[in-house]
Amino acid sequence: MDGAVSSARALGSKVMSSSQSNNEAATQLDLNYLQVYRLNDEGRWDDKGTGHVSVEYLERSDALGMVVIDEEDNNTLLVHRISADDIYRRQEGRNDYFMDGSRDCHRSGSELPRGHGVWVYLLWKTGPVLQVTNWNILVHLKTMVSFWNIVLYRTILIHCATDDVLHDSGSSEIQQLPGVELSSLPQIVKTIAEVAPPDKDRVASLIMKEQSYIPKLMELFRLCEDLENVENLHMIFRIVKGMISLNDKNVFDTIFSDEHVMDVVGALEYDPELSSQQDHRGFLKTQVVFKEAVPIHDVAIVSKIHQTYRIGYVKDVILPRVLDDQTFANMNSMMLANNKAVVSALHSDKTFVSDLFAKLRSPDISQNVRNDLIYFLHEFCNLSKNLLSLHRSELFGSLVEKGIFEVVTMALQSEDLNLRVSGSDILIVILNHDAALLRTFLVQQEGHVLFGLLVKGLLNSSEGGLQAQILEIMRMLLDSEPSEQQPTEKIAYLEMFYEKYIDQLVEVLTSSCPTKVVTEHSKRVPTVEKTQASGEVLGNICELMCFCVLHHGYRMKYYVMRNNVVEKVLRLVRRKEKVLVVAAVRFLRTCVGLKDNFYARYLIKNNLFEPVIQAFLANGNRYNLLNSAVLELLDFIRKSNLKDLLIHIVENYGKKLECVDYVDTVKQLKVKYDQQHWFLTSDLLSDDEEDSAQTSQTITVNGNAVEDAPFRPFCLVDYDDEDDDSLVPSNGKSRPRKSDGSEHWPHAKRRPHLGDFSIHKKLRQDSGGQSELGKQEVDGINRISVEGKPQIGRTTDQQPGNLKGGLDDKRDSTKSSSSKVRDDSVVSRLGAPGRVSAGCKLQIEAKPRIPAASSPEQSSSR
Amino acid sequence: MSDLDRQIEQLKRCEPLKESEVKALCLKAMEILVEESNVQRVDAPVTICGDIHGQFYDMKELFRVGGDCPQTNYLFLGDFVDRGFYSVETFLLLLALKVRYPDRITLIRGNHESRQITQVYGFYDECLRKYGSVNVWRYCTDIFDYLSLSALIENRIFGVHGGLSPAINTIDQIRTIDRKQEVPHDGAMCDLLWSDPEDIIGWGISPRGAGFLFGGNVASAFNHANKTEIICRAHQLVMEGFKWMFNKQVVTVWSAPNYCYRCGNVAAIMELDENLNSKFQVFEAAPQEARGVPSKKPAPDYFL
Repeated sequence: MDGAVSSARALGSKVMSSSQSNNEAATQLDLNYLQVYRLNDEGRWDDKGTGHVSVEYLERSDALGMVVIDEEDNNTLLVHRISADDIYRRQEGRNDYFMDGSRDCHRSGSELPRGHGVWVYLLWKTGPVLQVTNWNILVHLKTMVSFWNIVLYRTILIHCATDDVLHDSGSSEIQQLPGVELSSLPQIVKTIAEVAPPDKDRVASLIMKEQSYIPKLMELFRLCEDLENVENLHMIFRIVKGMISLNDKNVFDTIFSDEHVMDVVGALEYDPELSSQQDHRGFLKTQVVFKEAVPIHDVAIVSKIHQTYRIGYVKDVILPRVLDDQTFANMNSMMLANNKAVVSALHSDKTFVSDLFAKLRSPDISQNVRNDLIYFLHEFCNLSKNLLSLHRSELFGSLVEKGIFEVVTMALQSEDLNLRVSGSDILIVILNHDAALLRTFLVQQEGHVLFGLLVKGLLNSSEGGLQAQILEIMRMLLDSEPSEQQPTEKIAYLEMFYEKYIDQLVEVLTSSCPTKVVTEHSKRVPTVEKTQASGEVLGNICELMCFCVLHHGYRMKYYVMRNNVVEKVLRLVRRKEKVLVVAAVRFLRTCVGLKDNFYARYLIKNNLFEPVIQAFLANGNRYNLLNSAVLELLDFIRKSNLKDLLIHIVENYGKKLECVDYVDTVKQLKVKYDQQHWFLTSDLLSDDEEDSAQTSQTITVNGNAVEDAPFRPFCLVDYDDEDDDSLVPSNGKSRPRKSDGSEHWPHAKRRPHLGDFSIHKKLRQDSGGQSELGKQEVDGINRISVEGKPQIGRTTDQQPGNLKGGLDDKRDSTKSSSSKVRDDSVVSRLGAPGRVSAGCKLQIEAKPRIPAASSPEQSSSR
Repeated sequence: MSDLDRQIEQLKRCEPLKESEVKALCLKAMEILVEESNVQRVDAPVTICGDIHGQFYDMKELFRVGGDCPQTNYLFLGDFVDRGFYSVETFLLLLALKVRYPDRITLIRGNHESRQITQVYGFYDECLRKYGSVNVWRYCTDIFDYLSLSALIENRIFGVHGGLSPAINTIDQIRTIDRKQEVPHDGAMCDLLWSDPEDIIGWGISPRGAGFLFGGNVASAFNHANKTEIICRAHQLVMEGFKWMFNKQVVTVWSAPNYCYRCGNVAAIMELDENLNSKFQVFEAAPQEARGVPSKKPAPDYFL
């Protein structure tokens, strides 16, 4: 690397002189500032400095070049010859490339540009979109058109020859700092606040070497403040801000020390960009109170606690806008390390935790002191999240042993809502670490006091966030184990829950729902008993019920069937709050979603779709969440091929649902029903034998044996509107279709076609004149073609925005006519009658969808 | 002055509400949003806004340029939270306006209106810092589940946060989505919130890891099938604030100027008159003086 730099430097001086001599003749466009980064051998981006970019004719040639001149020392940073042949890749905002100072580019190794030479990354630094005048001139220069395209996007990555990058800003090493005098403030600003990123470490070490540097600077600050010299104060602001941006641990330790922190915060009150002085010191000195619930004897620990708070204040309140990501992250990790050190120290302190609990138990303390102790315990648990898992286990183990759950029991009985909220939050912290600790306690505690309190909290409205927290606690306690074998403590806990407590939840549901549906006409119905729970409570119970259905297989199933729980939950549709009606639908949907025959039969036997369908019909054609939720439920039953339910719904509600003509959900349901009906009657399958029909068998279609494929008799078809094809652009290109996974067959194997014309005729009669049926079926066969697949494959291979790839793509897409031929042949082999649709089903293979963790957006998050 | 009006005034000064007020506001908003459709019908004239991302003072600039609600009818295309410093105030102000003037402001869901995403990109941490607990985050994310997924303006302009989905050919098909759920990792609902237009033919895998890339022909087919003219969406930073694509069949509107306080972009809102003629109002980030002191003050008491 060194060699490359020195050669570049030598070359730099040469080109610099030439470009300077050429300046007057050149057509110069002062566009804007650019920051130049260069990709080094380790795949990281080195900052080469900031400068004016201009476009000039290069010496002794007609070619245009982009020249970047360093704004500080007028060295030439970059001379890049622009050629019309080059393809400039534009980096659009979507990729969120930003860089701050020395920060590495966000690109991961696999995304690094490949190719010889040097990649230079330019970042437009300031200013609004380019002025229109520039645009005109640029258009005037024909060869600049491609350049213009990239200019527009401001962030450009260009591929340069090795020689293009000329200047290494790290060359002039800073040897010493300017002395701390009023007169030298401008130089200090230049050295510390405007330091080039590569020199930051050196400047930081120089500052730390001279021990009196920071104290002297702070002295200077106090002097300027006394003199009210605003100009100097603004400079000191920049210096202090610069020192923080040096991002050096030792510097942080000094400026956040007890000795200097107030002066540092004071200096940061004089932000030249803000019109008035900020009163940060006032806040820290008068409003902030450090409460010592239990005396901490170690002075170093106390000082760390204060330091953490101040770092957080500077980071979040004073400087959030100016800190670069790296500094921000380092300040965060300093706070984390401090927190860890504090918690560990207090934990290993032999007497501290014992003192704390002894004090909590003592009858002599006032309510306020007790409250503070509980708040302290809450914060203590919260901070322990940062400990290593092993240490956390030890800590929580000893807290539980000392009686933290008794303390929480006490807190939850308090009148004070804040205290109850703190108590339940402590439980969440511990549950997040290990749910077994709490479950064991809950089962063993005499009279199940704590659990009783939790259930009570869940069932009684409160103003604060207690409800939401308890719901989360309940969910974590009830959570299903990933493994088959449940730990004994879990079994004991679930037994307790199902034997003693779930009844209470259901009871609240039933007692809070009116016995009749509240209609618009019967508004004056005297509101039911006083015990009625709030909508929020009922919503939470319903959600918990869904959770149990989903996670507690047989236990919940047994409970539901024995107690007719679905009927009880569905009484929620009688509530006037639409949110609860929708919640009830979701509960039914959760039961149906299990695709469990027991549930299906239970639902049918007790006619449990009735309330939901009633609510749906009462809602009329109004397009709201209730409407969509029920339509989705019906769609799900059809797509998942839940035969019993399908038949039940069509036979009982088919007529009533006929009014649903705004979507084809009900129509499709009937079509499917008719197919099933035909199948069941023609094969004389009894109800019990249905399942066997789904096993693998060889089937004869039109006299030919079809390959041995798992045969699903009620294969379903995705009915697009008949006139869909007219929507396809008439260039013969295929149009991808729906792909909702559940509906298309996973393999491209051909399924047996349901038969010949006579069957079609029968079906048509059965379905009461559903004349489209036969044709749709043909469509269905047709849609399983693989035609759509290569298309998606092509686009993945191609880099978005890559011009060459785009062209390839266009060429490829003309091949679709040949795949259509293939498609035809498939149909003829099956002997299917009817027309052949040009449409195809888009098949998408497993594709990565993890938006949160690996989303490209993450690259720019802090 | 009603409580709600007082809260709106308070939020306009960028002062967050109390936790209990947030809860009450969210419960009211829930009752309103549950009655909305997956494709919310919007009448012209209307002003369409793209991503805001918690840039509260820039949103105030937006209202200065576009006019106050309810005098101006607004459609916000999602991504109210994350990244900026004032996600709480931004979202609550929009929600309070929604509750106060349900017919004059439409909020639809963006990909950042999700529990998963907000835990990574800042909204979760912001709530924790400003309130000391994550309950406000819980209330807000619960509300996110009720937000509509798209909008249809005078039957001619389709508004959505991300873009199209291979599972959706006609706007009617959106009706059968049960939107009350966390944004899933795939399927129609995910695609509407995550997809991007791109210069390709047909569909492509999205580099975002969710949603798809869709080409000009897909946009044409969609517009043709639904008798719409324009697909108006947000989701991607565009330096000029707005960008037409595919022969004016798709437009991207971006309303967070100087995104993340450092991208140097301008922002835009799209004003549609009663005849659906569009006009873009471009605006820059609010000046520093207008921003006031950052309000991420930590709790004044501390034990550790």
